[in-house]
Amino acid sequence: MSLEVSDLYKSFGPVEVLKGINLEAEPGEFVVLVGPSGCGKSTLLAIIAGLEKASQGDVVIGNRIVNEIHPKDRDIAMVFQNYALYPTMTVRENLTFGLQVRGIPKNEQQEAVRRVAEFLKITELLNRRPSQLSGGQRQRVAMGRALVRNPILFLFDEPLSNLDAKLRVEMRTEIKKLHQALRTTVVYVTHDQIEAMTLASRIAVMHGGQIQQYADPQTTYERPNNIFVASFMGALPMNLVKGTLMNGDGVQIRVDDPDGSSVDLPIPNPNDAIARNIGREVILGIRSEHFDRREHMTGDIPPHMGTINCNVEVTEPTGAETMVVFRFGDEEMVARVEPDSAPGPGDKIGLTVDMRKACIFDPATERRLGA
Amino acid sequence: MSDAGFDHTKLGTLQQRIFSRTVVYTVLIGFTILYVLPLIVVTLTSFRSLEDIYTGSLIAFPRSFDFSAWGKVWSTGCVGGNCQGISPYFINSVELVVPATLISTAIGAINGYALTKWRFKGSEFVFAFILFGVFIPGQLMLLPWAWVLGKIGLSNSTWGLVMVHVIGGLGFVTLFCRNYYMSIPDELIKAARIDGAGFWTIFRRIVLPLSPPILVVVVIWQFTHIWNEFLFATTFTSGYNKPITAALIAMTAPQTDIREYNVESAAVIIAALPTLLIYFFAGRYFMRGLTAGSVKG
Repeated sequence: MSLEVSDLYKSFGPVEVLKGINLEAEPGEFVVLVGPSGCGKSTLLAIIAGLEKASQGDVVIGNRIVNEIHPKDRDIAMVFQNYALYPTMTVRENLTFGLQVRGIPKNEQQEAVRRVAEFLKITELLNRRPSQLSGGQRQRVAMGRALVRNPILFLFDEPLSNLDAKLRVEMRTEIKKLHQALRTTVVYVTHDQIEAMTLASRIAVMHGGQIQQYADPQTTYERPNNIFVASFMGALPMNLVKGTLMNGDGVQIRVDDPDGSSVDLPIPNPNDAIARNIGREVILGIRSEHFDRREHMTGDIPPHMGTINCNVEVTEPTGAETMVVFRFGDEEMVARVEPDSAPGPGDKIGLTVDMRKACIFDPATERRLGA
Repeated sequence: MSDAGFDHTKLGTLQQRIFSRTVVYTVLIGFTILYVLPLIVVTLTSFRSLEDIYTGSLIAFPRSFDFSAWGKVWSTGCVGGNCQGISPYFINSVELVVPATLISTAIGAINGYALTKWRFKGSEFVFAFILFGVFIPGQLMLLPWAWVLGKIGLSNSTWGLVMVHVIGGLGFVTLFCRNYYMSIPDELIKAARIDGAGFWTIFRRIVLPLSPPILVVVVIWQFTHIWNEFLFATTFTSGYNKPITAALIAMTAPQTDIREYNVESAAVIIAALPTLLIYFFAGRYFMRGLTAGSVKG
């Protein structure tokens, strides 16, 4: 295990920022801590780095409890949001500073700089100062400073949030390539769920000082533990609507419309938790890509599909697909459809729903039934 | 100022504009003359012979340039009973101002660094306590200092004054440096800590190279303040140990029937020269440093 955090608590005065964090990372893993601002993700990273002290709990890095160990002796390297390059030093001096301070011999320093500079393609920048570099180049140098020491754990604190949108996507890919080449364990903090999805081997979604879910990106997206994760992850939040579980032709969920009508949707392969809640009101969650135009379905509707009829309120073309906003059970919902088959605003359309992908949440605990 | 800056003198009719320009320049020129006049009078007087001064008007252009007053004031003029010129006192001032400025600047930089980048429980209180010194008038500290200097055997010595100025200046220099160091991102220090650097290495390698703008301000501030300071200088030293400000007063105190205005004028200029030169050469850095950190980037 490269990193293990157990029962970690942190308070600043009366404010409890972290409330019992448990987290572990296998060697070579890319763990992303994601959450809205104030969720405690940066504090958790600072505690792993040793820049903050935990109020309670243990941090283990490479089989060693590091609670009382100085940051410099934790065998970690960190990349900061604003890069934190030493402004009065050249790129070369920025890279060697950590080695120099540790008394590494000169020739080894130069060798390490050469290796990292070649790897990151910054050799021709070595004699420049940070102020003479572009945002992307600074980013690379900041990573170089982390790489040059060959640590067992890389910490990234929102490293891309200072870059413009285009560069951010480029650097995201570079970080992923870098990780695939080096296979060093990474803990990466971001508030951007797309960054989390694209980079992580496992995502820890944080909210209110707790980890809401710690799983691989696909599971986090498709099987969120609770309503918070369902709404936070994904370019579009999961569509949520109230309904009642009932036994009809198999287990079904009935969604009532304010006009008095109602729609029954099937729940294929209900788990025990769902079965136990028959008759109760729950919250149904559907991702927007699990809708489709009714007319795309030729022949009989398979038993795992539900159908609904609705009025289109607004359409939002994005190029690759068109977002169709409609009302269902008194909630605003979004369906993604192919631009070719996009309806116009005001159209009455039929939609199919793949109910195998639907999630059922308990309205009181907000947890997914069966999670 | 950008070209787009508002200039009210560009408004209105031609007549109005000429009028407002005239008013502005008249006032500016008037005040300039008012400020420069004493310097001109003193400079001119220092180049006149005593005879020229006493036979002509007190304020006048030299009939012939006479440099004897400068030589006399430097090496043979009398201060109190000592007729060796003011050079020993000038040297006293240098021996006072150089160590006092360097030591207080160094302490201020370290204080500011520690108070912003290594916050500890109560660091805000410590800062408030140090800052308190800024608001205590010097007169209030005369007796305590006299007592302390006497106890530690530094009365009537340059080193005693050095100590008074180092401690007395602590509030201001700490305030200056602290405010400046607030603008250095904490991430730099965090990065250096992870890189393996400690308190002093970070100070020396990261913070100090970023400090010239504020160090210039503190050095100029302390230098001018200590060089021009009179109250402590005249109270805590006597005889040959006086700094130049105290000696200047002793020199201009009437001793004979004839007041040597030319010699006194030269003495005043010599006493004022170091601070004038410092402003002349480093003044623009001073302005730059005072505003540094107030704007990001």
